Amino acid sequence: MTQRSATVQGLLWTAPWWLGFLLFLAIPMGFSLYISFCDYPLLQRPVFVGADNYRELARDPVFYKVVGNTFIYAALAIPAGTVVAVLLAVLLNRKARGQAIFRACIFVPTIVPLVAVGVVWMWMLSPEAGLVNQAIRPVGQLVLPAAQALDNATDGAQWSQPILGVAQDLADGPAWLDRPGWAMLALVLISLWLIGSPVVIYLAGLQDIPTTLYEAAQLDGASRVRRFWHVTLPGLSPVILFNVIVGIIVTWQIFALPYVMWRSRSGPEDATYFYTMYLFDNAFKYLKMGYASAMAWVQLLIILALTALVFWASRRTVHYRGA
Amino acid sequence: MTTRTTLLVVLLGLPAVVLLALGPRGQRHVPADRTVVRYWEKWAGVEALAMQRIVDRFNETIGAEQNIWVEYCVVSNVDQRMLIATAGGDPPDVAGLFDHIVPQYADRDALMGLDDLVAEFQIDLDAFKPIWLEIGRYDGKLYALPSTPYTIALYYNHRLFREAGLDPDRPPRTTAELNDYATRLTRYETGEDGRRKIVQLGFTTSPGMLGWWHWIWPNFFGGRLWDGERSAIDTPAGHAAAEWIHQRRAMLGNPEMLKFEGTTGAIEGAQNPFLSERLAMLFQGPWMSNWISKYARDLDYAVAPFPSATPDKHHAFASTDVFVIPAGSRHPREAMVFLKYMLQQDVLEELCKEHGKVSPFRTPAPDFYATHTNPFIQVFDEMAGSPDAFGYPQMPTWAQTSAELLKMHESILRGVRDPHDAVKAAQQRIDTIVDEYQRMAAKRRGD
Amino acid sequence: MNPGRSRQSGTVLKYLPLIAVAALYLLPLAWMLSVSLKPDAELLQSNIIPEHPQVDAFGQVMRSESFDFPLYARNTLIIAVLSLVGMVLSSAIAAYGFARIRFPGRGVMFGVCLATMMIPFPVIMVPTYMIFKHLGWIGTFLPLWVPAWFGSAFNVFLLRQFFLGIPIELEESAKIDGCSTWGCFWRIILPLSKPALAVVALFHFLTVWNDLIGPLIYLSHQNQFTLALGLQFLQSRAGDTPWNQLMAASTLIILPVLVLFMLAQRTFIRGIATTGIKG
Repeated sequence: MTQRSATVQGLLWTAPWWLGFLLFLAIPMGFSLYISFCDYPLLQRPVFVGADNYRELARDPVFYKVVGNTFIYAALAIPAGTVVAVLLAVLLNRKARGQAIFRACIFVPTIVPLVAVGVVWMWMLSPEAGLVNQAIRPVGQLVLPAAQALDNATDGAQWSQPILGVAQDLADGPAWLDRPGWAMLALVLISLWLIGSPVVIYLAGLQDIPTTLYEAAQLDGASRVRRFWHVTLPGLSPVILFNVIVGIIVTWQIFALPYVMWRSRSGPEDATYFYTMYLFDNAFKYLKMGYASAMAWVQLLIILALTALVFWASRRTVHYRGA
Repeated sequence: MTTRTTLLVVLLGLPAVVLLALGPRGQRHVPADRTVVRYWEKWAGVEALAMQRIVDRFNETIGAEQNIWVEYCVVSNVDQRMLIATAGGDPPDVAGLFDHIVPQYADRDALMGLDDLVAEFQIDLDAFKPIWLEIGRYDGKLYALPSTPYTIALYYNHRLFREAGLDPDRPPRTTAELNDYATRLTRYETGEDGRRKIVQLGFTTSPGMLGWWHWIWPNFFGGRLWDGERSAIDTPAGHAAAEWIHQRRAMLGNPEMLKFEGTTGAIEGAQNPFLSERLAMLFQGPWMSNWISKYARDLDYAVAPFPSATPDKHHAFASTDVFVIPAGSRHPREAMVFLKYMLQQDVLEELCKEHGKVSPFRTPAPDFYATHTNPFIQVFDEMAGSPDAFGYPQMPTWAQTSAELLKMHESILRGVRDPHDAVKAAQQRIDTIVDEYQRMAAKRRGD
Repeated sequence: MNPGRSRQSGTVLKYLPLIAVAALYLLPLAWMLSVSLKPDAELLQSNIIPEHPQVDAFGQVMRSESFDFPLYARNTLIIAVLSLVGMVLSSAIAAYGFARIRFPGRGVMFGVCLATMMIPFPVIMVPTYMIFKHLGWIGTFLPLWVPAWFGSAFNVFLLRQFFLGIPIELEESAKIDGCSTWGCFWRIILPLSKPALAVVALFHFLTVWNDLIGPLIYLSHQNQFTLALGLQFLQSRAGDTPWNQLMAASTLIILPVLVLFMLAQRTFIRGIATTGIKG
């Protein structure tokens, strides 16, 4: 095969991808970069305004608010999701009768239409009759005396007030959707319910860890816990890295769920107003398509930076077999 | 594996094949050589059925004579969908929007000006109360025609008034009096843990129990948020409204109020605390009586105009759903034939009645009030005739402004900010939004 | 010690957490099902087992005027099938190119391919819309399935990893027997990659099945709507959302995917396991 025919053949085989890349990614991205420097209300022609959109973005308090919210959500949902998904995967990887059914139970939530997810969880989290609060209240009533004792013992010190507040909320059953902190937690909670896809990927990762490693560890007399720390986790680390990166991309695009759950769209004190929601509002509600495009490009840069950061931070802890 | 595969094929394939082969239930059949007018509307459920009946009637009569077929489509997020479809060159021919979106869409060339068409089709605009047409005008041009209008009034519970020693036939006449009533209508209970709880609340402006009118309060103090050039919230009226909200909450106990508002159901439908007599006074539209007769048939209530700051003024909020013709509509004339049909008094009043709204006409038909589902509809209707009636601020940046005002309102409700600082901060933000908009518009004109 | 008893307690220890976790995850779904079976009068009560269960809501959904379930199901199915075939085929072809054909620039190209996974949808949403507008595709199914015929970076990556794991000797000996590159791909690689193809198919099917934004933006006629989009009609702003119908419709939407997952889950997980997402 000559050099030229190899090139032709390679280009032919990969054509589906690079044609799609040019048509549906490169051209739109180029165009969106251009209109991010324009005033463009969708029905009137774009007018070039230089870096105005980016300058306005730097001064926009709502922008900082949504960046902050999205960061907080990602910082809560990704670690919590990783821990829960790995544990679930280990549980579902054991040999047991009817494992298919158990796996399906974890997976079904991900196929529920988001509109329904929102409605179901609004019921689950309803302050008075919701199942979540029915389960939480007894716990809160156990904790509350301790918190009150702490408050008394410290003569109502400043730092003990939030603890007392949380304990009181728990004892009453928190108003999940109406308080900024609880609203954020509610979303994290729901994200843990919608964890099916990562669990399936972790399951696959677990099946890829050679059983010989476990056998060797068992011969060395390692306990279950030690085996988990020294065989399972290192073996799973590349998959964890993969899921964390997918997690970054997904959490930065959270949109539909808060949109369905809060009529004000932005939640109590704007606590559940996220980046993509503000971007959509700018594009289709405020008709500032140029501004929205500038936001989209900033979003891409943030995601790329975070991904690079995760890669850099993980260079020592991720183990590639055979590497 | 083979049984599994067979199962898979049977379980999934069969219904799929059946679905593809037999297809959906018959779509409405459009008779040949009729011009199809696509009509997108936000109304679903019962409201949609009422409209569909009228559309059917049009298609059988005028439509048949003039070879027009109106296709009624329920569309969620109709404003955004219409905009996207217009940008895509495939807009509907008529759309039903909310009035507050008209200035923005008109300013962005999304709507067709209707003045010429209205003249050509000899639609008698004088038959309507002026405010309903005012709402559809922007920059001196008519862009929207009223469909089902409403005003918002004060619902109050007779029984709770009596229990609190108030005269049930004398609703509050000023905003200060309303605060006073609210205090007397609020009842507390002390729980086992020694904390005070609200079990019955007089009045609240919390968004969860209010609906969509968080921005409205300065208007009852004589303020108007937009003068055509500048926004005005940092005004005596703006501060008075903020103070009014803040004072009531301070009097009733803000933590207790937040608790009550956070744990009590939302305004829509059966969970409404006014229905369960846990809220004594409520700011709501004429459709509320439908919920009452559906969920709390025996409720003893009445309706009064919402009070203004001084008894000599009668500020009243008026708003309406509207018909528009999107720019780029392929059949504006045919659409207009349909709208002319819709705007006949008997047809439109039938629709308004079924939707539980007021009549947009100067003199409603004699039986309009008598047969309306809301026994107090006349109160609502008369409010629209008040010389102090007002609609949404007609600013092209209303969507974004409204979001800022919601933020301001929330920070006053939650007590996270001094109300007067909140008002000043909101003014600054809105000024920036308006300035930015005008600066971009200037660049667009090439200044 | 009685070995039988310790085995028994072992079984309990093994199943208890499984059952507990499954129950926890099923609870919201149980609520969903329960609401779909409740008559209107019970909707606001918080009991999870309906006092007077009835299936009327399902019937209402199937017959509803404003929510045409069979029509939307058919539309969703058409879009899903068309885009599924394209996605699997073209991703496989491109992945084969990246895995087996040596050509200059391959490394760079593959790197770009991986990087495109990071692009958030909003970045390209509006311009993509403009492109479809120029092509005159707005208001048709085309924007919803044609792009799938150009593969996706994620699936190309997944399949390439899988193909790399197939011994190259198989193809070499076939080539000696006079088999073309296409023949190798079609007759050797594809049959061996069924689990991986199943993964691509299921994940993509899920995406299409639940996609809301695409249909919301590109479809303008009600008789083209998909299930996810049509579901919005059951949510009414006027405050009388028929909760039982909304939940019944959601249950109906979930059912086929659930069956698919139950039957295919082993193939599915094996498929991912052997593709090695380890990068």
